[in-house]
Amino acid sequence: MAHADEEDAFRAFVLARTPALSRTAYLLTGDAHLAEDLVQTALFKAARAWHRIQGDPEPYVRRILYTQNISWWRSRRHAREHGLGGYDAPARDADVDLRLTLEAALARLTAKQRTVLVLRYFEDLTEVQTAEVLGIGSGTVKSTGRQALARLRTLAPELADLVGRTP
Amino acid sequence: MTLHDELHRIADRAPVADVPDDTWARGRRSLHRSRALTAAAAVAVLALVAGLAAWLPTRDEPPVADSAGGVPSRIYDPPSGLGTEPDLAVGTAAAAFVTGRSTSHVVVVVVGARDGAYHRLRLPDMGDPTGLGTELTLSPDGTRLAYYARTEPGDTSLRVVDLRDGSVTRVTLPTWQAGLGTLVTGLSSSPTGRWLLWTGQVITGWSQNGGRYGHSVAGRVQEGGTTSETLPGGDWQSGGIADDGSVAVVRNQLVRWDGEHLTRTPVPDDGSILSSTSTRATGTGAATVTAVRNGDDGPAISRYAPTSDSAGSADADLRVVETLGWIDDDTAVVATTRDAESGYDSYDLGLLSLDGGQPYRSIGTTDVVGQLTVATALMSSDHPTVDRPTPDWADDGGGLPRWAYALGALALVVLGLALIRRFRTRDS
Repeated sequence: MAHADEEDAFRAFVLARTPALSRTAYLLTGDAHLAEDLVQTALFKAARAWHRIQGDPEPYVRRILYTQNISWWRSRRHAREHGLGGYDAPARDADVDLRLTLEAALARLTAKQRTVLVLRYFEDLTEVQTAEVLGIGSGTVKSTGRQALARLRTLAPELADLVGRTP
Repeated sequence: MTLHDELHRIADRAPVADVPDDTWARGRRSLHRSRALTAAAAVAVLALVAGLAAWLPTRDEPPVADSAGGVPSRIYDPPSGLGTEPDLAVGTAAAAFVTGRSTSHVVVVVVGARDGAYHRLRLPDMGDPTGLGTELTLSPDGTRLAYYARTEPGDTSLRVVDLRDGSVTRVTLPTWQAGLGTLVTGLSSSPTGRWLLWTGQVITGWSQNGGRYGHSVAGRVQEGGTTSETLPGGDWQSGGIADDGSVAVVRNQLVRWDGEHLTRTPVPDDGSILSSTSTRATGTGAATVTAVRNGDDGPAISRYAPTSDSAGSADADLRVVETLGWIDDDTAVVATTRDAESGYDSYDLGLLSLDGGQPYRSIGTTDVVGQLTVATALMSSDHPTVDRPTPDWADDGGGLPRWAYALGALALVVLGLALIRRFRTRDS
């Protein structure tokens, strides 16, 4: 009976929290398909470890979401990093078509940078909380966040005001 | 508008992920597989450690001293559960014997000279329906195995198996007046294997349940030959044959036949002779014969004619059960036991020698006697036997058998697969 209860609890959690997890996953990946894969993977791993999760499962699932995304990115980083240097150059004001919106600019960040931004400015976690979730030092969170914002300013100067007004 | 607001605006456009209905079931299955693999890996490590623990103490076993092969210092009787091998080409043998562990047919065990491996063989037409005539002898170099075969009344033969290629040579035995052939009760080889001596009795009656046997007969067969030459005279049982084909036996006199002439020489009557050799005739036509017997003071070896010499073990409790062969003219390989012992589980292998020093010296043990023959050319007085690893099936109390190592190896493979799977899972 305990197994049936666990399964019911898992299904209820999936039903209730998949939309919110999908939003975070979309921001983390910048791609609808990758976001769906990420959510599915996180929930699959949660199902495996459900018996070990004490209390609210959401922090556990979200942690998987964040770390799994970084892990995926690492396995593809060579392909992603190739040519990034070109994007780091300031866009020419005259070329309106090359202007990057925030969404496109986020896609040019590393998974780690993007994840830190999402945790800090979307999930509204503190630097300490972010460091704890990602399993890194808070100093690293701070420097990564700073690098991410600087890069956004470089990639999309027209968003300077937006990025500059961050708390 | 802040970065926070803008991120929420972007997130609002995110489609809701489709989560498959079987996510829970797949997750649980994966968990169970993972647990099973973990358990298997744990068992694997335990088995590996156990296997290593069993293996390490046996590493100090003495290495096989002679790459050309040798006679094992310990001869086991393998269980019938091992089955028999169809191929007679098992290679040079160190020892061969009729195993007592099968009642329905005769099974011969051949022990490899180079590796000490045990091969259970069914030799074509070996033996007699009544269980008599299971004689066999290895050539001194261990390459050929001669045995007695009987297929039907009147059709008796010796067969010589070349253990290197499995070929069998047939030597037809005389049919005598009754026309029923010969029962062979003794087989021996000359020192280099050039001649084979058989001794036995004429078959005078034959049925499925038994037979009747007449007077003693004997014959000699040259290496590679297909016919037997009958020996003159009467009883040559426990006689020996030399490389020149001469045959000699000691009764209350020394009887010798050189192929043409039969000579009889008076010798001391020392009692019943178990076996004897026949040495090449000297220039004067005289020859010596060395014989093994059980005397009042235990096993003894004596040389007869032209001069006599004798040596005994001076151990009255020790008895020779069987002479397995001769290393040289003055050294016999014997299986012995002690009269005081009951329930003979194993016998001593020993050398009985006239060459001075201790007349009797133990060189190993054997579980089997009776129709045990050894390749004497692979033995020497200084280095008579070699040590071999205990076979898998032998319960010798010497640690875990080889299956433990096999299990350890299997365990290692399972562990490796588990690790690979884990890495792949992480990568995906």
